[in-house]
Amino acid sequence: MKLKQHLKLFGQCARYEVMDRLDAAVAFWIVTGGTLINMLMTVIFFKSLYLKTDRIGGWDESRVLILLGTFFLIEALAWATYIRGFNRLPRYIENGDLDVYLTKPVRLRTFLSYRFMDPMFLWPQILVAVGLIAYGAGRSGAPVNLLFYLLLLACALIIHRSLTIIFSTLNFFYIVPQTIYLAGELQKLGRYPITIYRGAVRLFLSVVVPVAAIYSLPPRALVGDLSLLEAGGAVVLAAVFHFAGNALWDVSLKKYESVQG
Amino acid sequence: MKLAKYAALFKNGWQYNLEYRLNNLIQVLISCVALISIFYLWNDVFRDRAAIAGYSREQIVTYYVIVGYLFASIFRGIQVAQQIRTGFVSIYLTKPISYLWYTYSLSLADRLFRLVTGLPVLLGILIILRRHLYPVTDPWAYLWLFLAAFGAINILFLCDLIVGMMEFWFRDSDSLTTTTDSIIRFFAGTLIPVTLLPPAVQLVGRWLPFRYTGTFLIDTFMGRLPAAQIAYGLAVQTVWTALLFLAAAAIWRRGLKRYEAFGA
Repeated sequence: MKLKQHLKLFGQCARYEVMDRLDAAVAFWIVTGGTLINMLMTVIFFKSLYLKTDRIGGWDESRVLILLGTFFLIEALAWATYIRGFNRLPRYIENGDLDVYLTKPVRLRTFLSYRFMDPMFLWPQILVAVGLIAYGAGRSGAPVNLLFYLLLLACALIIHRSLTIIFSTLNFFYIVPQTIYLAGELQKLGRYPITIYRGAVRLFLSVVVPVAAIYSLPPRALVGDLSLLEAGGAVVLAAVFHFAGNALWDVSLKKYESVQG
Repeated sequence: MKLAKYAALFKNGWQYNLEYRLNNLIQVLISCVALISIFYLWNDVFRDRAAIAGYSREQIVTYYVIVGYLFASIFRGIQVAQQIRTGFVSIYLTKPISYLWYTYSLSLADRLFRLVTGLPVLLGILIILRRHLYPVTDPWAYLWLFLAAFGAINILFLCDLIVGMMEFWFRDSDSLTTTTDSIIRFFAGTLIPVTLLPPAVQLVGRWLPFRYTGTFLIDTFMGRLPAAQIAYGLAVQTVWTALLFLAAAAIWRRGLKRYEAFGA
């Protein structure tokens, strides 16, 4: 399917989802308020820690604020786009509803990445996240390297989406509705500087479920604390996860038995 | 009020949960993932000190293990909003049964079931982290924890019920649950013990009942509170339970006047 057709579908999905959200406008504002309160509480949590210590894993408060902002930004982008689609996968497989999508002339994993997007949910969180990043960068006093940050952020999103796809594919073999929840809990480990972890756990979070590359590298890139070698490593990791995720999806899809058919 | 019918409901609720035991176990196991970061984070914070706000490193690790286990078990969403929205509540308006007590019986079964099924997981964690835990040898501490946990179950249930009943006034009140859940978890001390929060935030928490559903339980269990403070805390739990019950009953009565049995 051509990019132009995907863009057209993307626009139609966005319009449909906005109309759906406007149907429950009060709920939208409550959810937005709740999300912002959640973010505030996480910030207060770290503030409480920094009242007792000056560094966490060698990171000062300003760098942790950038890390938190990056975490919120990636979470917002992911939940506003692909997570909603892949979250529905266990149910679709169980009921055989996946047939509806498989018979359409569209690549399923790409379509699921935007079909249930939430363009309204996106903005308040992104604004707060960007605000946190800007505040943290300002407080750090270090020269800001925005382009480098955006490159690493793009790599982070590719790895994050690939991980979501990889966890989702488990459902083709055995339906576990909590797979996305498990992926989310693992990714939450990246809310903290990767340097707090030790030994096998750190290795696992750097290579197997690389939350280190997703959340810890972009903040370091922003304040010029990341070497070119590390950045290159992140690009390679993103490429590996992208291709591995897609290949695993293609193999797993063949296991789909279509309970309706 | 005949207790036998609610005891039967409790039994039904227990059996329902038994059917989904693997699902429950997976959820408890997934909740344990958060313990990894908590363990390493506090190890790092304690790297050059013996105590923080009176908590030793072992006490903090014990705090998170117990509060995580308790909250994963006793803090469960109830389906009140959905049942009002779909008209399911109507069934109970014409039967000789109180909907509020019906919900409570099922909810109590659900929470106690999760406390029991979570025990092997808790035991596993205690064995893995045995060298990093604060030993609690006082048998009275277990009794206080049991009493305080029961009070916490009641407070959390009533808060859930009140939020769910907002569905009488506006559609999709489920969205409100997400917000209130976060506030409850935060002020209960699941993210960080309440006593470690900035003073201004602690002040806000003092006016809410949630401290008595988390931090209070663990501080009591670990012997951080004198007997008088434990008794005071249990009394506060009882007063909050009574106030929330009265509020829930009043909201139920007013809500029913607006109820349209839509979808029934």
